[in-house]
Amino acid sequence: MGFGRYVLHRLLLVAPTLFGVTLISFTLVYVLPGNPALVKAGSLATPEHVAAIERQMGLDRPIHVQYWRYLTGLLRADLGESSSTGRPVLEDFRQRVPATLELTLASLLVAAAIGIPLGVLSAVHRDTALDHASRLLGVGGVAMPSFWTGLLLLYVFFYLLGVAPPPLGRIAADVLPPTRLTGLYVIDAALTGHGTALLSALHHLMLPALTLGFAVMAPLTRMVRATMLEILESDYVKAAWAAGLPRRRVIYGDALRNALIPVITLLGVIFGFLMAGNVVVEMVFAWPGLGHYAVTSLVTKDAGPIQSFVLFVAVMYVLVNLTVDLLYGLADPRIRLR
Amino acid sequence: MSPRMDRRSFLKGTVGVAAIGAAGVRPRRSQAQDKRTLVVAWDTDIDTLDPAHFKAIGGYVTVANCYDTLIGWKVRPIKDKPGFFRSQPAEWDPMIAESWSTERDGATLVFKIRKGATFPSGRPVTAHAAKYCFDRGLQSPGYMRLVIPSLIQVKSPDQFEVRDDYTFAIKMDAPSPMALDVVTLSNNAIIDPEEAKARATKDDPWAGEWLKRNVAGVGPYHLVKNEPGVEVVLESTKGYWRPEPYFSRIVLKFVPNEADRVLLLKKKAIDMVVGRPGLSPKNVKSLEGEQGLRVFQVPDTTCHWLCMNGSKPPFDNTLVRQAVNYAIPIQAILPNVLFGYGTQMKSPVPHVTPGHSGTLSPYKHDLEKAKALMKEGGVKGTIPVDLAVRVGYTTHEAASVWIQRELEKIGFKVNIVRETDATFRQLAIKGGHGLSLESFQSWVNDPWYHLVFNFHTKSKFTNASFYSNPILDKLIDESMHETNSEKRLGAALVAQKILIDDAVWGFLWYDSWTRVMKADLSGIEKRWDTFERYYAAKRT
Amino acid sequence: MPWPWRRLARNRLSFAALGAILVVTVAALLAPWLAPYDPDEPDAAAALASISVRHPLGTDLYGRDQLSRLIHAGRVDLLVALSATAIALTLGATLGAGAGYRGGWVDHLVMRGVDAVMAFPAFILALAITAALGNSTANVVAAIALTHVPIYTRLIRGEMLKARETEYAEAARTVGNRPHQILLYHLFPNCVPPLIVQATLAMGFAILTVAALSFIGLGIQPPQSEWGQMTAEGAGYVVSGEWWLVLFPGLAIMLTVLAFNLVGDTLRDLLDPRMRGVR
Repeated sequence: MGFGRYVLHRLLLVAPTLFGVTLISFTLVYVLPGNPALVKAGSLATPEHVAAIERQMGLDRPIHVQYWRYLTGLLRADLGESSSTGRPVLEDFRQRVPATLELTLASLLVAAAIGIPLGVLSAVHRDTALDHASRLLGVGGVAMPSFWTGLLLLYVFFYLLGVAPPPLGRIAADVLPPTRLTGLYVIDAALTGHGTALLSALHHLMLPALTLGFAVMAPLTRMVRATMLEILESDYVKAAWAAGLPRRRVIYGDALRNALIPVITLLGVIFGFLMAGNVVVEMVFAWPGLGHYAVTSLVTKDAGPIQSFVLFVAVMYVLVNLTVDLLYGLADPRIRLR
Repeated sequence: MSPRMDRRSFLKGTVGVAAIGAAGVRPRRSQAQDKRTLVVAWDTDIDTLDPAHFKAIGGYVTVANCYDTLIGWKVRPIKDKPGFFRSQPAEWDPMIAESWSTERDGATLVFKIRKGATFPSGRPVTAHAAKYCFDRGLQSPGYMRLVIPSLIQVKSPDQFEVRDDYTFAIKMDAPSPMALDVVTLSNNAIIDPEEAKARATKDDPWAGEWLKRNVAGVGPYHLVKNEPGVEVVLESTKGYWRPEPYFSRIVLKFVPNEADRVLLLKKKAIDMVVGRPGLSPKNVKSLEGEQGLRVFQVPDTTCHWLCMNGSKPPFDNTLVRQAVNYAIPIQAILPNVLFGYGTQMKSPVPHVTPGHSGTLSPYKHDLEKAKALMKEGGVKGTIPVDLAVRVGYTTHEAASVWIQRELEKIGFKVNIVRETDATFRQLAIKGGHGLSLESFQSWVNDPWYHLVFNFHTKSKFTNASFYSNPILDKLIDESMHETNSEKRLGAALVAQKILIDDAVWGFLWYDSWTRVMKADLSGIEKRWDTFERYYAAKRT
Repeated sequence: MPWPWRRLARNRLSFAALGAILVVTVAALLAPWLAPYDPDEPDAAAALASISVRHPLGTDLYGRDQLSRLIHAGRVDLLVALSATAIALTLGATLGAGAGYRGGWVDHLVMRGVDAVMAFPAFILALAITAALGNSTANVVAAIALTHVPIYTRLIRGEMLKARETEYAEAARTVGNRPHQILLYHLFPNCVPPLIVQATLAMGFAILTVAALSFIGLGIQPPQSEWGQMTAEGAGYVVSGEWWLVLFPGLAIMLTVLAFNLVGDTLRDLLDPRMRGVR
């Protein structure tokens, strides 16, 4: 089918999934113990006051009406309120997304910068010590809990070597954060020429990015290696060599380019790893992002943030997978036949 | 090599260099930290700024520094603790009210509002503002709505009187010894009525939604930045009616892990740690000898007890409750859990509260006596029971383990259940706890304030033991407003005897309030509500 | 050809992995007898002691022996992972078989449900379910199981669809076997190998999930020890240098998960060549 039809087809498939996602996130909070009206009214409120708030929040209506209110609220970008910050969840999100975004981007950079070359070299120099080491890293890396990696890195680089900063957030306690343009400290500090903030932000980004990057590196390396090997064995590469093209150029030119295409499919998987990793890494390093926000909301059973976080992650996940499908469909027309 | 490979290794190289460079360079201190900025670490957020409501610590500390009340608790220096101050009972300083007097034998309080105090909007503070705040306290949803009628016997807004622009009177039904303390509570902060009225709506006539997020009062500081999970910044207010404070800027940094707070103190990267408690006793102890830091501790009114639900078996049986009191290993808890920062609880009334008696309690750790009482109480077999503890309350979590072991020796099977603050409170109110570890601090340092909230049958939300004794209720009702000091304190002794004999609480300890800070700080004040007010703080 | 050499090496590794799983399982089963101390017994005098002969893995804040706690914690981790995997497998296989066999609207409903569940990263969903249901061990098992169900559903449904179309099933039907028998006797044997592989790999994920949940405070509650929760208790001490509280629980997690992954990979190679990718 043509690409346009393919896009439409994929979008139509996504719709019921998104619907199911809203159902699940609504149900989760519906099932949460505790009465949100009571939390909002405060423990000393009169029963009448609590009842009034219940009416206001629509908690006295039947479940399908509540679900409808929830859906329409979503369309109005009303994600509810957080009882620990007293603010609309949307505002909390806006404040915290940049921190998570910065960490995620830095981790992806680390993972790609180390993982891809490692996978390529591993495939090219198959069965050497490097290959074995990298495969061990891959297999071992998947088995290491990311909170453990983070804590070990912290012990070695902070406590033993004194090279990393204490795990207290995005910037040193005595440095003014840069003026907020994007919310990403590194970018903002660079754009405003704020040297101290730039260095401090990079310094604090080091260990969390390494931890999360390492968690994501393993599947990436494995896939790059696997596809690279497949391509190196392929007829067309062998033909290229037979035709006399320089070995290096073939490997690092066409072969690599073709090997990276299937890596796109990994993006969906990587995103899943990243979101899970973010939650844990942000806790270890006290990083004030979405993951940390989600955990404190989950522990205090703060309904609005929990619901919105779960929904947000699911929607992002669906969108990432959709994008992957579309990109792949664009790159490889055979896929569209399915 | 192909350019692609070069680019990649170049990128790797730069990232590596940058990382090493960042690691080696220590960021210069920017002007964020200088002598006149106080940097404090806490682990709380501002959930609401509405004075009338219960709040998280973050909210209370901010309100305490940004809102003045009519009068404030006076503080006096503490002997051999230079630089530290604490309140004594029944002593007040003028704040918004420059003087006060009484009429009708103390049943009416008259406050003279000072001239020259202005709200941030520029409008002067007048008696009308005072009336608005008390009207609001009485009528808007919040904590004051319950406290004002029961404690100072004001049932209608007509009893709050504006005599002239600078004279405000409260006409109570009868004199109340707790009245001035109640007026001092930060919940009765003076709000700018024009600002609030401008934001009132039909559904929200007291501007609750707006006051939740905004400060509209007179205070030495105002809120400049509130970034939940990161930091709160206060700056001194220009044109405040008192001289400018030493610290022109207070930065309250959110540091959720206690280990990190300790680290920051050791590295002198912050001035102080605040919270309830902010630092666990073990960490306070470990910082005692630290160079450049000072530990401040003072006995406090916060009570911690093993709460037994008296409304259902097995704790509806007095003998069982007494047995529990003989099983509590308080002599092990004080050194191992509190590291000495606490005092054994000998009475339901705190030891620094007037009327406290430490000699009425016979309870001590005596397992044989405990077992005998259980037998006498008719207990057969092992009783399974859940002990609910709040997550994050390190002393409670540690104490629960000690208590569990002892209780299991006298015939209980104890299962420790950890609950979040919100869940814990909701279950407690519904009577869903059998055993739990509770704490309470009375901000009005008066025995009857303490007794009414904890033990009166009608105190549904705070009487966590569900204790109901008509004799005690009558005693409380009579003595709450008793103006004769001898009778008042005498009756308190009677009440304590009743409660101790009935073993209503599993008596544990009273906290010592502790703060660890840089050695160059002084002017730290401990008032009855324990929330830090930084106006008088300075560096020596 | 390097092939046989590598296969042998991998088999050695796999044997080692199998051995590791055996060791962990036996240790978990025999925990009360194997552990040198009572895991809950405090010993204030020996608090926060580093590794020594008396306490080979050190002690924590309360003086509790870490080795004993580690062994007992292993029980919880293995039990949770095993139960969650077993429940997910049973539920998922049943759903998948039913959907694949019946087809039609049943199939559509089940697959849309599976899609909705798979729209969440598994850990995030487990997080949310545990928060919603409460922090008991049973709820953690339920949460992990729920997030794993789709894998098995899809797997079995796929096999079921394939098998429905083979002549074998056609032939069986014409001979007169009841559909119910066809399912059990002819189709399931084909499903078992991929199921075993998937379940083994899933054990590793389940352990990582329960550890991560407990680390952030939403999973197994103290005083019950669990590897992730032990790491959380030790996390605060990393900045002051007490490394043993964090190293050993995390190592236990890693080695156990690694073992399951290696065994799972080998099983995949041996039992189901179709699933083998380039190694």
